[in-house]
Order: sequence, then C-alpha cells, then structure tokens
Amino acid sequence: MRFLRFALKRLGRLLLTVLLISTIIFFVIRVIPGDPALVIAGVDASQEDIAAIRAKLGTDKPLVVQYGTWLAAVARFDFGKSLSTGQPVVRMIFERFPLTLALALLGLAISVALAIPLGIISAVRRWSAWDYLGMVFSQVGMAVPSFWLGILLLLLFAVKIRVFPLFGSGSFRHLVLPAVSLGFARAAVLLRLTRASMVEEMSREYIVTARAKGLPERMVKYRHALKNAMLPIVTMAGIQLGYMLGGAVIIEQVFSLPGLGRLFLTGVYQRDFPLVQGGIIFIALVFSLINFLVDILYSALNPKIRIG
Amino acid sequence: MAGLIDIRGLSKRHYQRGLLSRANGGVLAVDRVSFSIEKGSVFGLVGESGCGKTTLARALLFLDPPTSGEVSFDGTLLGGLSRGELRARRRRMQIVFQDPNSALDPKMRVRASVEEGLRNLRVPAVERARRVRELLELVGIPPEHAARYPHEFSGGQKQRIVVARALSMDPEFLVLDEPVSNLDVSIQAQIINLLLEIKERLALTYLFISHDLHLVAFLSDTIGVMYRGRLVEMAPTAEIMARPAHPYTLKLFASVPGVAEGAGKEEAAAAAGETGEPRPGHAPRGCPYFAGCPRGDAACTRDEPPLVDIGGGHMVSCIKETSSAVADFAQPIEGGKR
Amino acid sequence: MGTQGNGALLDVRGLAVSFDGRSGAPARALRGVDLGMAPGEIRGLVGESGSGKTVTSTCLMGLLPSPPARIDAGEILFKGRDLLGLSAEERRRVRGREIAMVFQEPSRYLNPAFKIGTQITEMLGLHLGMGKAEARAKAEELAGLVGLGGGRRVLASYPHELSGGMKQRAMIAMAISCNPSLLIADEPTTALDVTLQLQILRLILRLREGLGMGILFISHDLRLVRIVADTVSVIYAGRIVESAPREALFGSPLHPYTRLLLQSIPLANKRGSRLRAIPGRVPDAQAVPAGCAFHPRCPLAEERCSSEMPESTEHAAGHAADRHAADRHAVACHFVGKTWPD
Repeated sequence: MRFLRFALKRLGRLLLTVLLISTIIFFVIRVIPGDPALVIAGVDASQEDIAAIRAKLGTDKPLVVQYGTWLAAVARFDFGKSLSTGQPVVRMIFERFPLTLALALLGLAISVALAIPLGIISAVRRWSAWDYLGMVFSQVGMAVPSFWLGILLLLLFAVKIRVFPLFGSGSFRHLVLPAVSLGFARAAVLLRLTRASMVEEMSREYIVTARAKGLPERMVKYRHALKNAMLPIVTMAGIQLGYMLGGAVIIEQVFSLPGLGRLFLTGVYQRDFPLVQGGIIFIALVFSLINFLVDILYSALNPKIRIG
Repeated sequence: MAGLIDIRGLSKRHYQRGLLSRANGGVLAVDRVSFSIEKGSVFGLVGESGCGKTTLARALLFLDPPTSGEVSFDGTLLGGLSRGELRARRRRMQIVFQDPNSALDPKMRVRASVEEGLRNLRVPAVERARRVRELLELVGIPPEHAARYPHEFSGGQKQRIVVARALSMDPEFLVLDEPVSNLDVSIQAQIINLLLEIKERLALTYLFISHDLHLVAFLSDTIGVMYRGRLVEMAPTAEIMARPAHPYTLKLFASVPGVAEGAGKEEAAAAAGETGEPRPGHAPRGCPYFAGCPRGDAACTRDEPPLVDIGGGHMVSCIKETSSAVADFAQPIEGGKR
Repeated sequence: MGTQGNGALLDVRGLAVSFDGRSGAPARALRGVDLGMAPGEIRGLVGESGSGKTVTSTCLMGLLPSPPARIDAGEILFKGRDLLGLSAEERRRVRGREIAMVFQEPSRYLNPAFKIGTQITEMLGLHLGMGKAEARAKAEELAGLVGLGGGRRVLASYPHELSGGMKQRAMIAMAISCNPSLLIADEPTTALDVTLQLQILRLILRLREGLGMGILFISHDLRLVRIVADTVSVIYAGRIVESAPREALFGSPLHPYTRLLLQSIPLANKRGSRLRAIPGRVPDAQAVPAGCAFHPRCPLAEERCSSEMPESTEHAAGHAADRHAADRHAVACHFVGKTWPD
C-alpha cells in the first residue's frame, strides 16, 4: 500500500515535469529568431503569401492563444503536423523511435557490460593491474569525444577492414559501431561510479559484521556490499539510458542514422515548431518515464526508500 | 517560589516536513513543563532519548523559542522582550553542548573562539586578551596555547575551551547538555570537578542534562524526570533517591543499580521488566506512560495526571501516587495551555 | 581447576600487536596482553578509548587488517588450539561458528538491505548446513530467546524498521545462532537508552545460563561491568594491569590505575564529595612511556617505574598457580601494598 502511494506520487511528479518542460520549450522556441512562414514560403514569396501561410499556421495569433490551442491539442496527443513535411509529428517520431531505442539499449548494454564488472573488480582489487586498467579506461573514455571515436571506428572497421557498414540503417550490424561509440563514453563514467560506490560500501560497519559472521569473503563482497552499492549505479544507468533515448544526436550524424536526434536537429534548423515541440515533449516524457522506473527499481533494492 | 529560572507551562511543538503535518498538529516535543531553578543550585534533568530534555533546554534559552508557556529569568519574562533586551538577558545564560568538536570552529584559533563574544560587545583588544588569559587559566588550559587551533587539543581540553568561551560572557546561568558524555572516563572526572569548582567560584546556577543517572544524582540538588515531553516527577535529590514515586522513575532507577537504594525491591523488579516500547508522536489521552506502566488501569486513561506536590517539594504526576496526597495537601500545579 | 590450558575456553598469552604508522613510530596497540577465560565465564574487559580493548577483540576474531596491523608476539589458545597458527580459511570457519561478536551500534552494524531473518538464516545455512525451512524455524526460536516478541514479524523486517533495542537483540540473535562457545560483546549497550541497558545485560546473563557460553564483555563503564561480570580485567595502554574476580576488584583494587579509576567514577552515593580525577591522559599508542605505561600519572611512581615494566604477579591468598582459577587476582605494579600519599 505504501508502495502504491509512493508510485503514484512519483507518477504525479512525472506529469508535472513534462508539462513544465513543454511549456518552457513552447515559449523558448518562439523567442529564437526565425520565422517558419519564411522558411516554407521561400525567398521569393510575396508579403501576401507569407501572411497567408502565417494565418494557416496560426502564427499570427497572440502567443497566449497559440499556447492554449497547442496545449489542448497535446492533451489529445495531437502534436500537429510538421511544417516542413506536412506529416503528423507523432507519426514521424514513432517511425524513428525504434531505431533510437535499439541504439540506446545496445549502447546501455555495452556500457553496463563494460563498466560494472570492471568497476567491481577495481574496487575489490584496488591498486591491482585490473584497477589500473579501469582507471586508464575511464580517463580515456571521458577524454575522448564520442564523435571522434565514432569516426575512428568507422575508419577502422568500415573502411580499412570492412566488417561493418559505413552508413544507413536496417540491420543489427549498422548499430554496432554507433552503440560502441555511445557506450564507451558512458562506460567510463559508470565505471568510476561503480568503483567509488563499492569502495564506500566495503568500508561500512556492516561489512565488519558480515566478516565476523564467518562469511566467505566473496559472499561479503558480492552479496552484502554489492547489493547496497548497486543503488547509485542503477540510478546513473537509468539516467544514461534516458539521455541516449533522447537521441544521441552527434552519433546519429556521424553514422547517418535516421534516428530521433537527427530528426529534431533538422527541425530546429527549420524552425519547425510542431516538430521540435513534439520532440521535446517526447524526450521529456521518455526521460521522466525512465527516471520513474529507476525510482521504482531503486525502492525495490533499498527498502528504506519506500517510506519516503 | 521565584528561582533564578522560572518555567511555567512551557511547550514546544515540532512540525514535520510536508503540508499535512501542520494539519494534524505535529509532535509535542515538550508538553507543559513547569519548574523553578533556585539561584546557586544544580537542577538535573534526566530522561531517555526523545523525552525532550534538549528541546527544553533550547526553548528555555530561546534558541528555539517555545510554542507556548512562560520563561522568566531573574524575575523578567523572556517572551515579551524586544530583540535587544532578549540578547542582553541571553548573555547571562549560556550553554555547553555535548560535542566540543562541533562547538568550536576548526578554522578559528582558540583565543578567537573564546573572545568572540567579547568582540561583539566591543570590548577593547587589550581587555579581551586579559580576559582570555584569565578564562583559560580558570579552566586549566595553559594560556600560551591560546594561539593554537582546536584540533591540536584533546577532547577534554576542547570541552574546557568551550566552557571558557561560555564563561566569557560572565553568565549567571549555565545549561550543560551532556557535557561529558563524549569524553573518556578518566577525563570526565576532571571536567566534572572543573564544573563544580567554577560553580563555587563564580556563584553559578546549573541546569544539568544527562542520561547518566549516577552523574546527575551526584551533581544535582534537584532532579526532574522527563518522559515524552512531560515532567513526570521532580524532587530534591535525596528525596527522589530515597522515595522515587512515579513508575517511570522507578523503572529508570531500577535500570541503574546503585542509584536509588530507596526503590522497593519488588517495585523495581516489576518496573524494570520487559515491556513493549511505546511509539513516539501523538500523545494518547490520559497518562502518557500508561502503555509501559505496570500499575496502569482504566482510571489512568481518562485524564492526564496533574503534577502534584506529595510533600517536601516532591512533585509527581501519577494518580496512583497522588490520590491520597491530593486529599492531604491538595496543591495541584496548573499546567497552562497546550 | 586443572593444569594450565586444560579445559580453558580462552587463553591469551603475551599478545602484542602494532600498527605501522604512516608517520613515525609504529603504534603499539597491544604490548603483551594476558587473558584467560573458563567455559561459561563472563569476563569484563575494561579500558578507556585507546587502551587496546577493541584491538584485542578484533584480534581475537581474526579481523585485524593485516597490513597495517602486525601481530608481533603471543598466542591465542582457544579450546587448546592456537588461533594465530591457523590458516585464514580455518580461522574463518571458527569465526561466527565458535567465536561470535556483538557490536556497539546496531544501526551501523546491520546490513540495511537484507531482512533480519535472512541475516540470521544465512549463518545457519553456511555454518550448520541447515535447509531453508529448518533455518527459518531456528531463527524464530532464536528471536524468542533474545526477547524479540512477535518473532515472525521481526524476522521479516528490515533493520531500519526496528527500534534500537530490537536491533541490538537481533544482532545478538545473529551472533548466538550457531551456538558459539565464546561471545564477544563490544560495548553492546553504549548506544542504547538506560532502561534498555539493563534488559540487554539481563539477556546476556540468561544466555550464559541457558547456553553455557563464555562472554567477554568489553566496556569503558565499570558500573555496567559490575552488574554482569564474574571476573574483570583492566587494560591500560595495551597491557592488562589488573585482573581479578569482580568483588575483589571493586572491593580491594590493587593497581593504582584501577583504584584511581574507581575513585573518579561518579556515583550517586558520592554526592557531596569531589571526584578523584586522574591527572594527564591515556598515552598515545605511538608514544607509550617506557617502563610502566601509567607511571607519569601515578601517585606511587618512583625511579624504577620509568625503566622497568612490571610483570603481572599473583595476589590472592592460598591460590594455585593455575592461570584460570576463578579467584586469581593478578596485578602488574611494583608497589602493591604501598601506602597512598594522600
């Protein structure tokens, strides 16, 4: 029962966050210079044409009215039509979403698979060869820009040695290199966190008790300490997933992947209000949803949180 | 009976976070406590964690002002004073806390900590230096060490410095909240002796709070027992040790052998028996100790027992103890508004 | 009671432990500790902070981190076997199963992520090979034994859901689960309220009665030790300065430190008098005075005390040379019986 109340509270926060973000974006994008009507009409259009387009778009009405109309539409899940393609924004987003989702999940999987085991070993065998390897890895991972890594990987594995395709999408192999570029940098941060979290837990008093109970050292580390250490790690992993889902824009550019990131980037260039707004709301929603799930998972791992 | 400190019906309510807490009244950390501390005496306050003794001390000094009730210092009500007047009174009332580490600013040299209050009073530098010397000597810290930082001193020495700082304002009244609990056993005696000595020399009055019953019994002239925010018993030390009356007091004393030889054997045994631990927070109707009391019955759940004098200044709030006393002495003490 | 070592539960001889300091001299935490216990005996180990009592208990459990700690000398004979001679794996098997420990602050020493029941059954499965159902039943029995009413509910709770007293009982239940012969209780009541203290002490006495376990009760508070111990050892700067049956120690303490300590403790019946404070403070383990460590603070000190370390000698009339005689009263001072300068 407490758990349900907790879940509902979090859900409420989620919706509030999304609403707030979308409102901010609505107003921000209208502040930046650039008139979509001009973009659509083209360079040679006459004033009447432009005015007509504005009327059609509804951009001639007062801002508050536009907001009201838009908000009502959003409540019906109608994000409007893209100004550039004319297609419903919702459809455009969902066309591209699976790709981004696959990329993000794969990226997360790589990140977790790299960081967590290495992080744990680093913590458990501090100052050993593994630990140094981990440290080097995390330094490199944080210093190397992901797009640079992406290009490098492309050069190596798509040009020099033709293992992976150069661009496009449509198969798993298309995702491998981008996922690695994406995951690598994330892994670096996650590894540091894993190491720090484990080290901190290992220094706690209940570990002394565990040893005093005569438990074998591996049980002490991998059962007692790890369970508590996982909390911040899970949180961070969830946040990373959210970020990746938002569309790792740069990676998509480098690998020419038709994902969400590219879609929104284009939308911003073209002042495609509905697209950008719809996109931001979508990202905010997804991110909040991930945070929500992470919170739930967190409380499953840490019984103390359920009360709060 | 006007003492240096007079407290009447002092209450302090704590509200938890969240909008709903205010609606259901929050928690009453201190509940209509009344007592007086005579000039030159030591009033010992005992009780277990959560009983409100520290909250009471802070409320008394107006560090965290009371929600209701009155506090008088030397005849003057503190509640109605202006900020300036209150500050003037407060100088005469100082406090020493449990942890000297958090009481002293680690970035300030010891002499700076001790003279801080004097600086605020615009005392000239030469005079301040003299005072600091004097105070450090009084508490047994070599004045040559005044330029050192707190971390260069031991726990016991730090606590002495805290006392010196408290004394810099020339107080008449000192609240000591677990002043030796963090210290080693052999150091405790040193600090206790120091406290006794300066009390004599400077004619001070103490409110001494501690969980160590032996220590409180050793130092105090009067002892007050608190339970969940209420003062359940209060008496001169010898009296309360010979004839502890309230069931909770009995339980406390029985838990610490050697403190009160006066508690009857069977009473003590019954009182110290395993009882469930009551939940904190909302006080139930009737006596707050009912849940844990071996003598409680239906009569105890009707009204809150008033604090009654059962002779010789011995106050108890338990209807089992006082029913006969009321008939004889008939002096219930009015508790004041909640 | 028998010849040396025979039948003794615990016999610590000349235990010396030091810690490598990062700066300067190593810290000599224990400088030759002698401690003996018979089965079912409750021995109090009294000392202030920095005296070495915690290092002693940690060393007995085999939990000293091996650098920076170093065992310089000594033996720990547990039921005849020298624990220091065992391999790490053998030592681990003794831990929890035959020697168990209860710590000071249950809220820190219990794992917050596991239910109490799990933390108990874990040991039963590991050391005694019990199956789930059997372990659960045993856990309930243990909960009842330590006074955790409503056993099942408590076992299904997480540590933060329990009060301080209940957490401590839970920790005791965990410690005694495999029926160890020796229980080390390191300040088990210090973090608890006064009314709970006596309950826990009574519980400890009951455990000795019911399960016959020997208990090493470590505390800085002589008043508590007096309630519960059969015999008391006083430790100062890494050495045992006095060791005696309870009433002998409190009634006729022989070592100056013990005497002064007893005089410095506030007691209700000392009202009206001044406490006798011991001047100075406990020496740092890195700078232990030569000879008798207590000599800078001792009113009886003479020339001899700053160079010669006093050995522990017997002072009970009509005693046997048995290390474990219940009436053995040992003191390490040059001047037992010398009149006090007061």
